[in-house]
Amino acid sequence: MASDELTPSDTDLINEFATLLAHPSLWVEPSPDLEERVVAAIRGESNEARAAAESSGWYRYARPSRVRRWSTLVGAIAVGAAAAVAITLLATRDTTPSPDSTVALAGTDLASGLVGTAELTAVPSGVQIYLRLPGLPRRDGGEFYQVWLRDCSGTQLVPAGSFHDLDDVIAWAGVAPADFPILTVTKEVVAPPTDAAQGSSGEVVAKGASAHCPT
Amino acid sequence: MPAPVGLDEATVEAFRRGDEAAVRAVFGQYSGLVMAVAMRVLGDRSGAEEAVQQTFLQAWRNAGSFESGRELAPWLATVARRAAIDIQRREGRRDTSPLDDADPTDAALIVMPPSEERAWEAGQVRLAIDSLAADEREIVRLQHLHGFTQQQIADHLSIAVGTVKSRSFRAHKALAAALAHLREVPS
Repeated sequence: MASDELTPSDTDLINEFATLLAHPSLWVEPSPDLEERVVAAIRGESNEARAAAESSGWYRYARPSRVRRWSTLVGAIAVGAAAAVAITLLATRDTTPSPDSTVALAGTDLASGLVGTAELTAVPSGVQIYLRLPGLPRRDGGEFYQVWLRDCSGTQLVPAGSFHDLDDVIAWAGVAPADFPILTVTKEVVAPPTDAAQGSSGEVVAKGASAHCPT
Repeated sequence: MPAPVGLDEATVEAFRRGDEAAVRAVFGQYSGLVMAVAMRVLGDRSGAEEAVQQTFLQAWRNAGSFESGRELAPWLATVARRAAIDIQRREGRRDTSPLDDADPTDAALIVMPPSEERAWEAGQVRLAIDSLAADEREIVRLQHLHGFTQQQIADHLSIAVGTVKSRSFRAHKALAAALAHLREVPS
């Protein structure tokens, strides 16, 4: 047999999957920014979990068990105390609304490499948007960042607050994320003289979506 | 060639801890598989990418329940299919319009998602494609997706037909080896 011919068995196998090999869906590559969006979403949840674990007091109570003489006894007490703290925290957390969704944010060409998250929580007065978007330079002196919620058609834009920076801030909006699923952050400058109806500059530095917009 | 090999146990363990490098490694290894499964269900890039994001997030959230030493691919394919079906159902609840006006390629017109087995096969074929060298992968893409002859591929890539033949042979041999475990066994 020639060295560049497949065996009948291999040919049969390739033919078996020929339909799949010819299907466009098998060849679609994820968008270049999808990896950043995934990493940002996981990092956001990971940081939240770590912060919750640290605030539970485990570290504070665990350390003495290694340095004190009656380590076993102290360790047991520490575990009991930590468990009590954990139970108390769990009971307390029940009264705090957990986010309805976490949006992965990615920087645009104006801030490439930027990643972060926005946790959306619906409360009676509107939607709370907890933003963690570290890495943006602080903007002062008439310059600021503006958070927006946008509808899928791109025709309606609702402001959700202006900020000097966006690492660990809370924005608010009085519209439903289901109707305004696109979250954008723009760079803004106060227009002189003060423009009472100031709109978006269009200089989007970060973007994410809480839901899929039909194409 | 053996079937596509998964990531080493240390990387999977680091993924379970949320280590960023490990998340990137898992994404790099399996994003194609997850995308293929999601595309088979949704037929739409935007929805499929949302499913991919949901899949990796859910996989990370539930990584603690994943048995050490097992291959990640089947698990990810299952999560991806479910995530895509959830999105398809959500999209199916959108406003209705006359059927005559509908785009025949609209994913919402697909009544039944592919079975778990079919979705798994799509993922495996994509993994096999991703395991090929870039030049071999391109030959397979032009041959199967675009239906090019070997002469057309040679013209398109400005290489000799003999080169196309040898790359095509190596690529298909590798594909056959990677897909051998899916071979239907006569009953």
